[in-house]
Amino acid sequence: MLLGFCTVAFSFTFPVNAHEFRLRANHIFWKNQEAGTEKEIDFGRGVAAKILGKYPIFKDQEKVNYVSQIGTGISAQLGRPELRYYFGILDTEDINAYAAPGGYIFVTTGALKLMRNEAQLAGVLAHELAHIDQKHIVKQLNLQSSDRSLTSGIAQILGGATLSAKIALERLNDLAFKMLMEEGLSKKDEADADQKALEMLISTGYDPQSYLDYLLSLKPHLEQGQAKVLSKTHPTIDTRIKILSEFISRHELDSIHGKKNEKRFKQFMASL
Amino acid sequence: MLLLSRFDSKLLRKKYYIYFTAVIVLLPCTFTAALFAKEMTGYIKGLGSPLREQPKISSKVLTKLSRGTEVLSKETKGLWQKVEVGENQGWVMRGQISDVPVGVKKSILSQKIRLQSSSGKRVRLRTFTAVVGVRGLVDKKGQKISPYKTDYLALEWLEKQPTDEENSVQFVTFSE
Repeated sequence: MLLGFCTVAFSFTFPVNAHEFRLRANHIFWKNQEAGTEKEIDFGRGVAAKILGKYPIFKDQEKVNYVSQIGTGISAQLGRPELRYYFGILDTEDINAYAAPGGYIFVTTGALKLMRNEAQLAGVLAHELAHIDQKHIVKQLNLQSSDRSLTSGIAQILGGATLSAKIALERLNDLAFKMLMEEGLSKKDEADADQKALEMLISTGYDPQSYLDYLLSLKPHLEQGQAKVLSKTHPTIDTRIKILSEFISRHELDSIHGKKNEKRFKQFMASL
Repeated sequence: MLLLSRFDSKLLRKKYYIYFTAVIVLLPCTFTAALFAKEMTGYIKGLGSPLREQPKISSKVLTKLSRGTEVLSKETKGLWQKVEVGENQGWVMRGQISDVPVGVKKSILSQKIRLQSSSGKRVRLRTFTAVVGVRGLVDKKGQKISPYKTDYLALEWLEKQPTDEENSVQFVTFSE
């Protein structure tokens, strides 16, 4: 309504065509967004450092490169172009994957051991990419500015390089880290990330069913306590599968079968 | 009592007048907003997003659109958007379009920020990451701020890993 009112007011005041007006409005909006992106990366970097403080980084160059190439291949097509994404492996048997704002994504060796093909890895990375692209953590922390923009909200709160700004940043990092390790994101955001992951798989030619297979394969491990953080922070597998199945039938995606690249995945992950 | 009821009816009339004005002003605005929502300018996010003839993943690729290309969204059908790009019309998946212009890649790694470390010395970011990684950030009284450990050295290792978007896109197009 407000947009409509502004549009009418603007078009009466300045006689420009609708297309030109949209371009101008987008430009103003984009400039504000851009200012907050650096702060979002700064914020996410602190969260990523805490994730690495909890779990050691896995430094097998070949495996890290492989995971990074799959992740970057997807993010270059469907991620936020202004972000440089980093894909790392965490050396822990706990089955999980994490995303910190600004482009930091991690998958555990426990999760990689459970995966059967490249499409499953692509699905997990795409789920984490969706959390970053939709700014789920930033939204949940309610870091909004007076103009209701999420990114400039971070910039407003963490605007300076002073010690007090850094202390504020550190405290927000703690809240985000606690959210990732204990409280979890909202069920709605997890469902959103699952659905976006399926869209990304279809868009990049991967088999979407493989992602559902991976989720189903998690079930016994959750019951045996091999994915402690995941079971605390995510909805149940049955709930996730139910929501995804509804999404698949609503968009008639049942007939889509993409590549799985099982051989290549096993070749890279054989020695894990 | 009579005075009160007169006052009430005056207030009621004023209320209706406000409602009436609001409807008159906002109704055309809603229509305008709907008109603008139907045909929106979008921007291609990805490197070489395929523009397809039909809203199906198996449909013929008409052309590949480069990152930042401005498109006019005409219609939405499930996960697909019909777009117009110059002479061409076709379908792209909705996740490939951004409603804001595509920005340049941002990096904070080259920035030099001076901060107080736990040793009391003011340090630059690169040194800061190492010092904070080991001892933790402290406030002016020397109290540790966070109960959680950090590992900035591992993070810097990850950030140094080379990536190439075009090569990676090629890598994921491979199919066995």
